[in-house]
Amino acid sequence: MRGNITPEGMTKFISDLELSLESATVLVISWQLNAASMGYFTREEWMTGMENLNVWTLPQLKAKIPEFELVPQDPVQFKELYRYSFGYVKSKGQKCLDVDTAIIMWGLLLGNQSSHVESFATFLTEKQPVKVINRDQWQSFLEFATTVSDDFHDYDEMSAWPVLFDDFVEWKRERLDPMQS
Amino acid sequence: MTQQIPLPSTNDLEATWKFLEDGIDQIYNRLEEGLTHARFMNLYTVVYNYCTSSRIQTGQYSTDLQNHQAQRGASLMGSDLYNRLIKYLEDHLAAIRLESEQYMDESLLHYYTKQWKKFTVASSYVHHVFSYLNRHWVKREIEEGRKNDVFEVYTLALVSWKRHMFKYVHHNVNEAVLKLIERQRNGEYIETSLIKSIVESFVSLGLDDNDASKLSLDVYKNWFEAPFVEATEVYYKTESEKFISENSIPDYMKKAENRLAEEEARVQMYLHPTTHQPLISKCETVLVKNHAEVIWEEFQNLLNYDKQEDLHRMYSLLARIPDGLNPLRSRFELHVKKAGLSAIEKIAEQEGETVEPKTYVDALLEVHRKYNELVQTAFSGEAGFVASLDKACREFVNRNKVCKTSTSKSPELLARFCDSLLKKSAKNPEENELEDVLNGTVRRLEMFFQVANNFHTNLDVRKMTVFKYVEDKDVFQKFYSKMLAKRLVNGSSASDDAEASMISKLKEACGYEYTSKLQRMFTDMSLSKELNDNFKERMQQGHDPSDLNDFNILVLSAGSWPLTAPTTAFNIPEDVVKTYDRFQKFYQSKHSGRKLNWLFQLSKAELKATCFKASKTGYTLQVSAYQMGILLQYNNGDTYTFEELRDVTNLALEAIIPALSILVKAKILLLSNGTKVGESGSKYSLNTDFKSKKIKINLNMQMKTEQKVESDETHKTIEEDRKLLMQAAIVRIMKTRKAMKHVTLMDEVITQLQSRFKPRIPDIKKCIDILLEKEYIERVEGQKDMFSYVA
Repeated sequence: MRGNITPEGMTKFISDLELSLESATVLVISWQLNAASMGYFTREEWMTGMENLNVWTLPQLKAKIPEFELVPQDPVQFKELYRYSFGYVKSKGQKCLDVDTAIIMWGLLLGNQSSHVESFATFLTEKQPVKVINRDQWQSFLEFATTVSDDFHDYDEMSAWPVLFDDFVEWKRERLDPMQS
Repeated sequence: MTQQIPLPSTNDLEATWKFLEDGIDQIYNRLEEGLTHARFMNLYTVVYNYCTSSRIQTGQYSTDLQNHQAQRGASLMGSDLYNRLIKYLEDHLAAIRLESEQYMDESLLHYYTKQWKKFTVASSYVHHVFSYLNRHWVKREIEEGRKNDVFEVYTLALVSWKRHMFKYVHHNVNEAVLKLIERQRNGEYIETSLIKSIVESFVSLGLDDNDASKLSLDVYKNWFEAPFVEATEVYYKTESEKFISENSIPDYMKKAENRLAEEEARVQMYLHPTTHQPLISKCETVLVKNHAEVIWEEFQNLLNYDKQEDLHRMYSLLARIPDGLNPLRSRFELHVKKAGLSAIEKIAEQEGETVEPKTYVDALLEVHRKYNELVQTAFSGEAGFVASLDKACREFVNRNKVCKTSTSKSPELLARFCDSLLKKSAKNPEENELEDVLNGTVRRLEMFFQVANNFHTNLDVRKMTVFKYVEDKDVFQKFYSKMLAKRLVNGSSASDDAEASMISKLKEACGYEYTSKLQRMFTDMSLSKELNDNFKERMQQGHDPSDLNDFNILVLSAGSWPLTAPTTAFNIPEDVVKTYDRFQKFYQSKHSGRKLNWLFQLSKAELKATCFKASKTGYTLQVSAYQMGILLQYNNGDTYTFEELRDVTNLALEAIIPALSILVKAKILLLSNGTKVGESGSKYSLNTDFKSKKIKINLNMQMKTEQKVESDETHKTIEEDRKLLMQAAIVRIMKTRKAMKHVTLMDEVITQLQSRFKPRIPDIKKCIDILLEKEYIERVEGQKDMFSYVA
């Protein structure tokens, strides 16, 4: 498609910015440009996005990187970024995210924020309760990861958590204290 | 004894009092000598004369009073007489008191009551002697505010008794009374009238300090009742502790019951009625509450040995104290639950995997019957025990050894039980026996529905515990309608009346909606009957009667019947295809646009077979449509391979193999060139040597495995139905409420569905997940646990 940036262009763009493909900053830039799908920028996304950022040259964009790196530390902005990434990462035409992709994304976004990310990933790969993560589960996980304590004592089954989380907590509690089960 | 004594002059106090004192003294001390009317009138007159003399007295009056009277300008005489009377009473009572000191205990009571009677009678005479004083001087003084120290003469007498007699002797008198009561409690005979008089005296002395005309019970309460109740407490505390350590609890309860009855009688006999409350409540505390723990402990024993009388006694005793019954109720619940569970366990052990529905249901009902009776008799049908019984029943009906983990097993067995009752029995009972069986059926059903009804009413009462105990009524409905369909289709229902009465009971218990489909099934049955008649008529007009097969059909609306289309194709045998076509045409002409699905898996036929050597008249074979398809081939040949039969009937494997198996097993067909029915290349030839004692042979049987598959399938469809019901309920609720908290939504879903089944929380949550994904609802941004409806 004429005028659009494709995955090859994207790789070059990222290396020009001296960033790693797996860095959260790349995600932040895509979010700033409101890119609809991973690995692509349409001409319109690019033009409007850069204009909004008031960026016209590569050095200008590079100069913005420290600012982008701060985004995950701001809870409000981070929440927007988190929600945005579901649509950004999932394959077009599908409603849900593959479990594997979801696990990678959680590691990228929440990896150093919550101890639940790792054990949830273990739960999903070992028990394989689901093949895909739907939008509700994705969105709820942010709150789960940031509010529920490590030992789950404050997890309330009577709350509106998705059933998948109930199952996870039950699985995890059994592991923490096998005597109780 | 009349003696003409000149009356004293009207204004001479000393003379007047002298005259009066003489008379009063006679009244108080020697009344038995008699008092003539003339004498009485004289006394009255003297008082009258004195009070009406206008001379203003000096000396006896206080200055204040003098001024007071002068100011009023009126002259009411009387205070001197009044004061002299006070003095007289004081002296008189002092003498009585002095004499009383030589008496003790019972003799004191005799003395006291005798003197009291004498004194009160005399006082009422004296009261009349001083009528004039009462009416004028006393009245005026009271009006002027001297209520507290000026009284009418009779009251004055009581006040004096209280002040100069009672005050000094009440302690001893009371002690004597208490001793007497204790002796009665110990079983001795006592003179109860003595106590009655003392009580009356105490009550009479209850003069209101602020208003002497009013009676108060203070004296009785303080000087008699309080010490009496205290003594009672001490007495029964000692007695009950001793008794309980030496006797069994049932004996103790008898004792306590008797004691309580005695005390109630005591109040009636000689105490003031207001003593009932403090006395009995004290007795209840000492006799029941203080020993509640050990009494509760005994409850299990009594239950175990079914001691109905003792149980009732325990119930009545504990009902007297606050919270006395609570431990019994919960223990009773546990006991009934255990009894139910062990009854079922026994059955499970005896019968193994396949429990006979009748045995199962009868066991459930027997436990319910037994304890329902106990509740009605021993526990007087008290609501708390009824609730405990219901809770326990709900528990063991839904979760027991036979049900294992699935609450839907019970309703299935209940439905099967109903089926076994409503189906024509193989034994084919005699006319009068049938009546008995039916009565039994209805009675059992009634009991079952009584249980169901109890569950129902309790739902309202205990909203909180609701979802723990609800029956899976939808499972029952599913199985019931399946089996009803079978009874109707196979014509195996024993009685139309029984069917109808069952439906109406279901309707009563679960509502119109629950039975509407069942009722429509009956409608279809009668419509089909008409249809068959019409068809026959039409055929007789247009065709050769000999051409007409004996044909009967049921046309059933797909929505109301729990029947599914066959899973296999089927080539209709040529012999019946003509009739099939005719009926199709006939039906289309009546109802164009309606589609007929032929359920061959439910169809049956009778074949007249004359090919067997053993019978000249031939046998009648009752077969399924598929078996008919197979057997009719043997009009044209003697042996067919499995493949040939399969091709000609076009039946799927799972349909042809069971059909063939039965024919082989019955030895109508002989299997060769293979060991198992359905093996490729296996051959089936007509067994012309077939023999049977019966002329009619039923070959249309369902295999055990088929039944199991059917049951599993039904359970599966129930799960699916439930999911849809829950989702529909959530959407319905969210549509009206727009936004709702998670917990409230759950409660609402449970409330809406509880009459059908008990939705499990994780299942509702799953449905919420599904609806979130389908975007019927969404989470409200920034509000925890809140959903909103997506329009």
